[in-house]
Amino acid sequence: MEEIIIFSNKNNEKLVGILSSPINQSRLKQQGVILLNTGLNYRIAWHRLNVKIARELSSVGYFVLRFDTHGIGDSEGQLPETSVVNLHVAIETGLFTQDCSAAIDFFIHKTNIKDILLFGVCGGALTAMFTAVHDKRVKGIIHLAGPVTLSSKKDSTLEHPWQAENLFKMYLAKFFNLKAWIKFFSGKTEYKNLFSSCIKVCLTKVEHIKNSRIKLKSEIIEKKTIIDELLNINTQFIKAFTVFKKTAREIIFIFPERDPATWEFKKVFLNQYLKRDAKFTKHYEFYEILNGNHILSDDESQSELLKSVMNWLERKFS
Amino acid sequence: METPVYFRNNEERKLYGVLHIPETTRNNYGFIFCSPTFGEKTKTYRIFVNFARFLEKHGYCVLRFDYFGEGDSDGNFENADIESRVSDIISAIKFFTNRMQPIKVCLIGTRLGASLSILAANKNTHINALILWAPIMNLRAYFFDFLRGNLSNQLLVNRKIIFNREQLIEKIHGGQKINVDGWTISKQMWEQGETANINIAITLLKQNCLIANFIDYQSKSYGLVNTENLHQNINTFTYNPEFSFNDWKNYQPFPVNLFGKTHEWIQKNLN
Repeated sequence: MEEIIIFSNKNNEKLVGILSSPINQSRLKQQGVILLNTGLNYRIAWHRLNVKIARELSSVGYFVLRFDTHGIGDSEGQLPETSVVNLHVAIETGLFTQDCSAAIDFFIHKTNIKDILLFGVCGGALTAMFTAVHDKRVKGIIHLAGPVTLSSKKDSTLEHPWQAENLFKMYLAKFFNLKAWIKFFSGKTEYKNLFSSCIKVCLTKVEHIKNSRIKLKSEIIEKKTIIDELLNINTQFIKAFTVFKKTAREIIFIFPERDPATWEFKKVFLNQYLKRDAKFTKHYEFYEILNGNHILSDDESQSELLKSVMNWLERKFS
Repeated sequence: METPVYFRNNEERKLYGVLHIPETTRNNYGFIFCSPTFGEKTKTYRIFVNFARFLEKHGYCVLRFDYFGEGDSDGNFENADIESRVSDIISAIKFFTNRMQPIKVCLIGTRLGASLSILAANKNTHINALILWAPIMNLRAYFFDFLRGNLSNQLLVNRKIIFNREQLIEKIHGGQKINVDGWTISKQMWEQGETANINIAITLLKQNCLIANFIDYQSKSYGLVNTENLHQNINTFTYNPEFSFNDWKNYQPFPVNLFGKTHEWIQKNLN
């Protein structure tokens, strides 16, 4: 069953959402789930992903809330008037944290369920972390494709190492293709893209070799490393995660394989911050959806997402 | 006052909507927004929220709603098509006029929503006026272009295209549902798009109508609106888009030129 709900944030702005209630109340779960919107998309998320997730989770006994943060969707308020990149950075550094806290207050008041799981998609995953750091009512986080770097204008261009690597691999796959060589010698290849991607891939490999010799001296970041500067790492997120870790709460990181955010996550976060902390290993999981893209557009990826989430919930919280 | 609501379509399925009712005086025209579809809806959602609030401030009632299978309405995307969306527009008109009577109805349609508005106006006499932002005159061309998203994903996953557009269309005609950027195109949706003749349908309109031809969008194969055989009540203007339907690069939730031009026409023609 779905119900339209309206609640206020700290600035008295009305936030609009949909609460999905379990059809079968006899299978009611002890945790509730709050879905956090991706970046500038409103509460339904990419191709209604949040609607599908909410309906699926409520069918197995969860109360699920999806809502619009201020300035987005049907909610009141305005976002700062600035460039899209700056808006994304604002979200990635906590713009919607207070709205999330207000959503938790409302959710508990409405359902009487006190244990909250935050399910954050892309930018929403960062909102989840920033909220959880200060709010012990959050018992776990589902972090879906949340970037660990700050947005920049370079992201969807060949300046980004993942984009270059991807394009390079595509050209490499055509190495033994006669038609591709005919195109190359007849002037029909996109030479700029081809050579840019080759150069970028080589440069990235050289930088990686240099960087792999840098050792981090402590968990808390004191200064940016060369990797951080290369990829504009989100140090606020890292700091928040460092605090979150100490509370021994559960988190699952789910990333689609074919996504620059995944590439960044593995390069700068998984190996450097997750795998190095032996005490935390039992509280986190990393799950990669093979062949999935950033928005998990295909049916198989979505199916795998739901399966992995349900599985994790069952193991950690039942 | 803004109130999210649920109402029922002709098949008793639940549709999500938001009613905007001015607190003071009300004009005798009300507006129903017919939204674009696919990712265009999510990219431009806030623009329609802001325009609805703008109209409400100027004394107009507004209903925004989600078609069956879209937004927060019931159903799955692949179970809706052109005809079901047109039917939902007519259900929205019924709901709106019952709530707000007496009221004259103006549809504000954008992209596919504009094309659907034209088809709805051919079927329903309760539509007194239309505002069409970037109507898609050739639905087949629009869907054909949209298949690009499927090709891009094939490149990403397989590093090559395995099924080209023509092969994808064959699959659709054979009853297979094709995924494009997370949206499923069904055989019904495709075939209804192929047969819908928006160019003919628009010549049947006699109501007051404003058409905004979006530069860069109309010039594609979706077709410029041919004003030759249109009724004298139909006005057009060329609009240089302040925002994009397909990406966040030009995020502009309050396109002042579009709102201003449209409001100017409303004040002159709808009273």
